[in-house]
Amino acid sequence: MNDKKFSKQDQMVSLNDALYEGFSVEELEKRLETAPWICGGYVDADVDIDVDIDSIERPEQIDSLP
Amino acid sequence: MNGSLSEAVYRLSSYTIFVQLDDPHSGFLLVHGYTGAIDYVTKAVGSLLKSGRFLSKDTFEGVAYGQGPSIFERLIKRGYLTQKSPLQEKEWVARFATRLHESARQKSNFLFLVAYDCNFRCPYCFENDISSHGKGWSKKVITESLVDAAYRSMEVIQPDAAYRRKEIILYGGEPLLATQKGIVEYIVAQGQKRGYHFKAITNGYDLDEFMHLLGPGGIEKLQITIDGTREKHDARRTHYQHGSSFDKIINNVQTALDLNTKVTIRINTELNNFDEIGELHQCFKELGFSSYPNFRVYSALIHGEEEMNCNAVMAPDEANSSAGLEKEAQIRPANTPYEYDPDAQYIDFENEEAYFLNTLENQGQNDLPGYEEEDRIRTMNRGKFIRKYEELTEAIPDLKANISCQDFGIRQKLSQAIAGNTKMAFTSVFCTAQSGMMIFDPDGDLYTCWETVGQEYYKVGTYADQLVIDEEKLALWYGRNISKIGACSKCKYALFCGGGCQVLALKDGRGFNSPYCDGLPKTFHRVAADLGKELLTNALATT
Repeated sequence: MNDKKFSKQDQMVSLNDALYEGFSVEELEKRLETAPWICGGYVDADVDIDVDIDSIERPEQIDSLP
Repeated sequence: MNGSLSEAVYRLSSYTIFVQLDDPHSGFLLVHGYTGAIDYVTKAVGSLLKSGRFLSKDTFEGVAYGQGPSIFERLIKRGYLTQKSPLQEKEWVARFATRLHESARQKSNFLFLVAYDCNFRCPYCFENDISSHGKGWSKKVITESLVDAAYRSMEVIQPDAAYRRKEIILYGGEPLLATQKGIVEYIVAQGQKRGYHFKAITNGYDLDEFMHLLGPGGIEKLQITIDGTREKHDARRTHYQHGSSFDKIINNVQTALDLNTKVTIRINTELNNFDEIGELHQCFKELGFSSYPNFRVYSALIHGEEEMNCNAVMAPDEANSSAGLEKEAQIRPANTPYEYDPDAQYIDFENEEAYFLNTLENQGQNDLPGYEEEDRIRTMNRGKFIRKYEELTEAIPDLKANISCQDFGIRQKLSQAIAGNTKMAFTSVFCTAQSGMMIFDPDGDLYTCWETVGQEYYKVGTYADQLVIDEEKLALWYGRNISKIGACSKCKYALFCGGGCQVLALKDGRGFNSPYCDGLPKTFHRVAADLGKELLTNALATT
């Protein structure tokens, strides 16, 4: 699943790069894409674990920022 | 007070989650509850992070191999160390959650409840209540005029076609009853004209009557429940006339797979049939199902009423405004001693903020001993479910790749963020019932949650003659996100679970803005630890 290679000497290994960063909400809100979100319903776990993120039709960009 | 820490001093972010990894690695997987960072750190680094609220570069000087300073900077970059105050972090998460919710709300999802009738009599069905309270096993089936009204209503509910999800769900009762073939054909034909395709949640018994509708562009996906091998399945998923159903369903699954339909098998599990998962796995392999790319299986937990909810004693049904935050920080004096626990699920913002403010005035003054943490996790039925699944996957190594289990999507979210290098799939709502789901039933009524269908109290409108939506009632569903739920607004895991199932919280007798935790934190730790172990084993094996 992950091809990161590191040794036992590594004190810290970052496993992902894409973060919600920029510690200002305003900045985040300007950059926030419509999130690929996954619901966690009990009845239909297929929805929560089988969501093909790329296939979900979603707005390209949020324009109406608060 | 609007202050900040001195330049060199940071505090451990309240949203840092420490996942303890088992030997032989014995370090931690760090996960951040709002940046979405995932990092492995050694036991030494993890212990330093946990050593106090306030940390400086000097704290990490002693870390071996000269990586100390760079680790400090990386911890800041990843969000684990911050100069935000606890309440500033809380407010940030609240606004983030609201924004996520607004995004999700833009998208409409639609579901046809074709009929309340069903040809099975399963003992655990949540719709059994309907049969004993008036509507009974209603023979009422959605009509062509209701279908037309529903499609018209969809365009009013969401005028912009780009924001309507193109997959419509067919649901029941049993949506694919042979006697309902005509209306299902009509729904699919009318939907296809409008660019929709379908997914059916079905018991699969009469599926052979619907093969002409299956496949790309039509009914593309099926979710079919099989509760065990033949004997166990037939004992509980019984056809009301013919009894056993296993063999017929299996034959139908085979045909559906050959028609390039995505088939998901759901195994409803509890203690008595849990071991059936392994036997079914073997059965599906022997049948050749497991080799189809369009076939998958997951086990679901049957939710018992006796299950304890961890929030039952600590979660007030309340909203938090920014005014509320200010008030909260004043409740307990800044010098009230209490125990600092970086592993606690719930963040004690009141005390943490007081501590933060106190530290600004007395930089350098640090930890105080004493206070007993009140918020404890009290239930773990979901944890047991996950544990049993792990035991099973250890006993049957190839099972994990073929059968997943309901773990709140945690494994998938973490795996996806790592493998796909995408932002964490955070959510501020539990499911589409809180964002954009609209259910059309055969009585001309509208609902948002399929576990509430047929219950007048939960109806959010009607659509038969004209679309009438009860905005007040709808807001009770669409208005819920983690920033509106008292307990969730203090929980570092909240953006992973979205507040839990709203209807289960309601069934617990609590309000619309109540949480349903269902053992999420322990599940999170079990799944994340297991994933971390896999990652490290693979990564270290190659070095």
